[in-house]
Amino acid sequence: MKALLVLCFFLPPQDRDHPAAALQRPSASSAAFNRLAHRAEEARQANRTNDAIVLYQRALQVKPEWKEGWWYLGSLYYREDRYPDCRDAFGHLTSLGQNGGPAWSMLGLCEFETKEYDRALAHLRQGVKLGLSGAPQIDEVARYHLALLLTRYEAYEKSLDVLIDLARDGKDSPAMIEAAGVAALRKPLLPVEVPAQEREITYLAGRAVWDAGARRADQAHEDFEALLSKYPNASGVHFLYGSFLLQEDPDKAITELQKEIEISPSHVPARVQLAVEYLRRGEPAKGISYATEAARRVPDSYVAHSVLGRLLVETGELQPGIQELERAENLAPESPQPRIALASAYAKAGRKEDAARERREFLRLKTLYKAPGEQ
Amino acid sequence: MKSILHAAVVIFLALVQATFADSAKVVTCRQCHRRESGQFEESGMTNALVLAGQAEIPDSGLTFRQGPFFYNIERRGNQRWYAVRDGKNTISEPIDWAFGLGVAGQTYVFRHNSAWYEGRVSYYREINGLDLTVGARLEVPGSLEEAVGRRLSVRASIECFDCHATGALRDGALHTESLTPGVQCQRCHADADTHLAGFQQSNKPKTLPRRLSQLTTEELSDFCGQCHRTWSQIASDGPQNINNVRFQPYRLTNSKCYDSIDRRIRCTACHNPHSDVVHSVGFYDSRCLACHSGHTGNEEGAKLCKVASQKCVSCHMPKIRISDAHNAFTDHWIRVVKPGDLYPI
Repeated sequence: MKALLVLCFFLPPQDRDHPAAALQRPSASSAAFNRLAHRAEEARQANRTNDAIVLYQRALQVKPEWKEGWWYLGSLYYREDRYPDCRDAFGHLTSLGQNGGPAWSMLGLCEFETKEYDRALAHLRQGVKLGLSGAPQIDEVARYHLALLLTRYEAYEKSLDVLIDLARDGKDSPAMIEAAGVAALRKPLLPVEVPAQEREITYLAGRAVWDAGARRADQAHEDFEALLSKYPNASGVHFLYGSFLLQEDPDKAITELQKEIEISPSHVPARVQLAVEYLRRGEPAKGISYATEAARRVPDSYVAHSVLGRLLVETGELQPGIQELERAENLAPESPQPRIALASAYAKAGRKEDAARERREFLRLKTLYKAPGEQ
Repeated sequence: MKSILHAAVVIFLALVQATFADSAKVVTCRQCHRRESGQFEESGMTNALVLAGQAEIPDSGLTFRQGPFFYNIERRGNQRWYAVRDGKNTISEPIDWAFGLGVAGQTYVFRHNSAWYEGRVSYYREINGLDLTVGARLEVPGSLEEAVGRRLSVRASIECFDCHATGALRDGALHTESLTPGVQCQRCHADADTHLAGFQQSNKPKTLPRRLSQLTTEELSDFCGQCHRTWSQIASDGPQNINNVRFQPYRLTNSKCYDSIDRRIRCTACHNPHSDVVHSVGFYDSRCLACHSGHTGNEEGAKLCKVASQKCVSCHMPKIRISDAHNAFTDHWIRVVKPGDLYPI
C-alpha cells in the first residue's frame, strides 16, 4: 500500500508555492535559497534522496516558510521510512497554514507509522474531510489507513463505510480485503495484529464484504457460501451473512441473525439488526426483546437505546419510548439519528416546540455527519 | 330512556344479522359502509396498481429512444409487453403490473432473470407517450441489460407492492399471487378482516378496527407517510431537491402552520381518504379559514391574508412542475411565496 504512495511525489496544484515565486520577493538570502532549492529539486528528480534531503533541509533553514520545501522534505522522509522526521515536516507544513487535505493526510500517515494512533486518526479524518480529489493516490492510501484506525477504535460500521466506498471505486487489493475482513469480524486490531490462525477466516469474510460492497451480489453469495461452509460455527459469520441478506431475503436474514445469537449469545449487533428489521417490517413488538437485551448488555450504546425507543413509540409506549430516545441522544449528542426519532415522538406527545427543536438539530447535525469517518 | 336505547341496539343487531343471513356469509365492507365504499371505488388510490393488461394506455405506438436503445410497449392479446433493443439484440418481457394512477403517469414492473424489474421508461399522460421513469439515471446505459431498467431488491419490491396493493405481504414476505391490486379497505384498516370474520361467524367476537380518526395529527402524518413518505424519511434519505414536492407529509410538516396536535392541519382535514382528491382550489378555502379567520378568535400565528380570502392554495400552495414527471404537483409546504423565492427544500 505504501508503494502506491511512494510513486506519488507531487505537490497538489493548490498547495504549490514554487521557489521561483518565492525568488521574486526581495530577500537578502534569496540567491542562496534559490541555489539550494534548485539543487534540491535536481537531486530529488535524479532520485539522489539523501542529497535531496540535505539540500531541502538547508534551503528550509534559509527560508523556513517555504511550504513546498516542507512538502518534499516530508515526502522524502516518508519514502525513507524516517517517520518521526516525516511527521515533524508535515506538522511544520500544517502549522504554516497549509490546510489542504493532502498535507493533513500525509501528517496522519506518518503518525500512523510512528504509532501515534489518536493523532493519526484525527489528522486522517481531517485530510479526508477536506478532500483529496486532486491527489488520487494519497486519497486511496489515506482512506485505507483511516479505515484501519476506525476498526482499531471499534468504529466498525464507519470503517466499513470507508472501505465500501473504496470497493465501489474499484480499489481491489488483498490489503483492502484483509482490512474489510478485520472490520467485518469486528476485531479491534490492525491487519498485522490478526493472529495467524485467524487470517483465513478474516480474508474470506473480507472477500465477501468487499464483493457485496462493490455490488457484485452473485460473487458475494458465493463468497458467503465459502465462508459459511468452512466456518459454520465461527462468531460473527452468520451476522455478516444475515446483514447481507436483509435486502434480498429478509426472512432468511432473520434466521441467520438468530443463528448468530445462538452461536455468540453476547452478540449485540445481531440483536440490534433484528430489532431494526422488525421495526422496518412493521412488527415492532417482535423487536423489543432484542433491543432491550442489546441495551442491557451495552448500556452506553446509543444505537441500542435509539432502536428500543423507536420500537416502544411504535407499539404505543410513547413515554418509555421518549425516555429511551432521550437517553440515546445524551449518549451521542452529535448523532443525528436519535434526534429524528425523538422529533417524531415529541410531536406525537404534543410537545411541538421540542419536536421543532429536534428537527432543526437533526438537519444541522446531518450536514456535519457527511464527512467519512466522522461521528 | 335506557330501555329504549337497549331495544334500538337489539333491533339494529337483528337487522345486521338478517342482512347477512341471505348472503351465504359472504360479508364485505360495502354491506355496512356503503357511502365510504362507494366513494372509494371511484378514487385514485384503488387504482394505484392494475394488471398491465388492464392499464388504460394506448395499445401501440408507445416508443422511446435513448442512444442506441429503442423501447417499445405494446399489447399482444391480453398481455402487454415491454421490449428494448439495441439494433442487434432484443430483451422482451411480458409486463405484470402497472403502477400509478394513469393520471400523471404509469410505471411498469415485470419479471426478468428471476427478479422484479422497474421499467426504465414509463408512460406519461401529458405527452401520451413514453419517457424515462422518474429517478432513472439520465446517462445512456452501458449495455442492453442495463437499459432494461432497475432491478428491484426483494426489499424494494416489498415496499412498492405494499403501498400500491392490498394483502401483498404475509408475515413480511411478498405474495404477488394473492394480492388485491390497489389500496383497498384492509390496506389502511388493518383489523378489517377480523372485523368481517366476526360477522361471518356468529360465535366470533365483533372486533372493531382501530379508529384512524382518533390518530393525532402527527400520528396521521406518519400513517399516510407510510406510502407518501414522512418528514423523517425525506429528511434522512432525501431527495433534497424539487422532487420532494411529491412527498406531502414531509412538505406539510415543514409549514410554519404545521402543528402536531392541531387537527385542523392534519391530512384528513383537507382530504377525505375515502374519495378522490378534489382539484377545485376553492374547495380548500374553508380549511385555511378554519385558522386564518377573525371569526375564530384569530389565535396567535393565524394571520389574516391581506391579499385575498378565496382560492388560498393557488398562492400559498403553488403547483410545482417536475419536468421529468411531466406533471405539476401541489406543494404542501404552506407558505407566503414571494417572487424570486427559491424552492425551499
